[in-house]
Amino acid sequence: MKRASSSSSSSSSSSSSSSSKKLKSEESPSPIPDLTEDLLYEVLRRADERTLGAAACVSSRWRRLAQDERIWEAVCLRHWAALGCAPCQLRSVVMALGGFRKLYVSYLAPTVPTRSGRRRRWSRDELQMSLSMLSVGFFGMMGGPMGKFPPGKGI
Amino acid sequence: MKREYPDSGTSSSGGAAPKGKHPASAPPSEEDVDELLAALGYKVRSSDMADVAQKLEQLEMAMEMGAAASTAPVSDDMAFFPETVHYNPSDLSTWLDSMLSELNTPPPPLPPPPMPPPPSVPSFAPAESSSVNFDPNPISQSDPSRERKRMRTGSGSGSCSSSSSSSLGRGGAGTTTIGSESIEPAPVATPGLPVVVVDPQEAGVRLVHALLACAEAVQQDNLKAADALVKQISLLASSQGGAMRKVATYFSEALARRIYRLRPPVGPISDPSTFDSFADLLHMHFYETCPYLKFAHFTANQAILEAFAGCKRVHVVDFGIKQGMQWPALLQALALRPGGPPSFRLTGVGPPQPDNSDALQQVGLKLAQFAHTIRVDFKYRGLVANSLADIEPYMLEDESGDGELEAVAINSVCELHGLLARPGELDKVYHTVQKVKPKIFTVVEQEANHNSGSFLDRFTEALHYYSTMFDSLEGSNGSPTEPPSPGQPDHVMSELYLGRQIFNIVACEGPDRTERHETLAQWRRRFSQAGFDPVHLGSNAYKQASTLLALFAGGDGYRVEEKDGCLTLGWHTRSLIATSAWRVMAA
Repeated sequence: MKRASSSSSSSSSSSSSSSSKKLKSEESPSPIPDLTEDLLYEVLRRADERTLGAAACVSSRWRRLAQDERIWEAVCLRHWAALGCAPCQLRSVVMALGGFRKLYVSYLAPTVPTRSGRRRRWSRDELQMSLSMLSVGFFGMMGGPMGKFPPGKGI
Repeated sequence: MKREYPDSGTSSSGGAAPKGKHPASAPPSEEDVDELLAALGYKVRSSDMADVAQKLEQLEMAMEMGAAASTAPVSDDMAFFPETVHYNPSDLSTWLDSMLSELNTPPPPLPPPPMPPPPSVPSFAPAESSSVNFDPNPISQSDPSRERKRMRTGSGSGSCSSSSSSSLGRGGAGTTTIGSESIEPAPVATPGLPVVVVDPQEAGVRLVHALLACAEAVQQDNLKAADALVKQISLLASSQGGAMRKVATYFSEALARRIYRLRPPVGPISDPSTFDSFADLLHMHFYETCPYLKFAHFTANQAILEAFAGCKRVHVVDFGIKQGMQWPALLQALALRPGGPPSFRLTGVGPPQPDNSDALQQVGLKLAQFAHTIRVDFKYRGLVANSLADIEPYMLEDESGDGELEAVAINSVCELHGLLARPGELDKVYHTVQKVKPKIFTVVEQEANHNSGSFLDRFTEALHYYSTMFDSLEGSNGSPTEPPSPGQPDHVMSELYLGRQIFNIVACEGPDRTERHETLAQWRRRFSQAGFDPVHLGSNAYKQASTLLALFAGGDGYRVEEKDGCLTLGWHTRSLIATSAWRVMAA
């Protein structure tokens, strides 16, 4: 039911965004189009990584939505050819270790060649390596910046 | 093995490489023989110096032109002179005449030599010209060009050695003037020939020679000469930059310690196995800044993961748990196993703490917390042991005694070589492992022979190995995921980590010398003799390693290689660390 409404209001939102553009060109401070959270989420869910990055810079509300873990989980899953495990299994582990966005930004993005327009699918080894690095990173950060555990007993 | 030259009757000569012999041992038969060269075993009349210099240049030009014409490898200089028989290489003048006449070409007008490359990487590893090719074997082959460098040594270092060495400096004033004389005639032949006295590449080669000469002096217990050379080395090292300078500094410091018998029996600096918080820190920085330890952990983990396929209860024994950095990745991989994770038990072995803190327990707590986060059933036991040989099979037993047998994996990252310091310990460990019957025994060791009987051989090997290591540190920019905030400190820590190993290899002896690295081939022999079969590391491990390097992006110089089922990681052509896996031979 949400979906039906979103398809009709997405067209209206696009027209409102074009009207807001016109307003911008007239140099009066116009508010960002007042999309509901659901709409924004649906739009961003289909966006690629660069768009998400740009969207996160718009406002704090947009940032909160653009950094939603579900969106980034979808980004990661789009790239992986084969998981080798159940998605819920992956989700619980990755969320516990810092989340999909961190996984993508820190350990997957560096492997993507910047020039290729086409989305390249990562192999299982790349997935496993990035997960291993995520684990190591999380472990290192446990107990404060020096990684001393229990926290508070630093050098 | 390296110095196969006919000892043609002169007491002081014996080969192309400098030996740093005490000058008093070379009988000065002619009064006007150049002092410095005499110390190196060459008899050249002071009046002939300019002439000899010129002939050496001609020889080198001819060889370089010949090398450019043919496709022979540059280090294979002796291929030019198949018919030559050398009778008295120490008499440089006549020897050069014979070489040049064999070439049978009129001495060509000397073209200006190519300017030496900027001193960005003055290191041993890349063999870019005929003269800078540090390789133990072809030393005897590339001697003509070495001599040329040594000629410059004679002329150039006259100024720097006059202040330092008492034994070699007798003719200091004399050689300086002769040195300037030898420089002047050479440019007369071609106006565009700049004879650079202290050229970084030159100084680099000189530095290597000085280090080797000092080591040889130490081996012969010639401490006076060694002392003089150490001082010379520090002077030469200060003219270098980058990796070369650091390596030379560490090695000269280690030599000094050896000479002055500054060997604390169990000291934090020379004993890298001391598990104090400083060593922790260095180890951690080394882990962060270069991929060697990560490679070790990930390849070993992959082998363990594959060995544990289908097992419901698993037990890992880590022979050197340190900060436990290897295990989060394995726990995560087990958590994502189709079918869910097994119940996991870890036994961490570590040395006793100097400050009585329970580091093993802390590591265990941290890992337990981690395992709890990703919901893996986890048990931990810490074993404090001075040496791995103290471990008995009963200590590793499963005390809970539930129905299903646990699958055991034993893991050792750079822990086995220390056992070679005391006889019988390695065998004891092999025996214990056999009793435990693990599914897999993963072993990571440095790929170098730093345990030969001869000090000089050890020194030379170590020089080559650690130069490559330092080069790789220099060449890598660090992991993109964790950029070092001020660029330098991380490298300094990693260098000190390696420096401690250097101190141990060079300055210690006997049971204190714990850094007894051996090559993969040597370990293979030991393992086979002890009753172990190799387990091939699969292609998954290889792909993981390649992915690690791609992620690391810290320099294109790293290479992963597969050798008979074992994986090695190296810098350019030199393997530096090797992972292998073993299981007990079926009876």
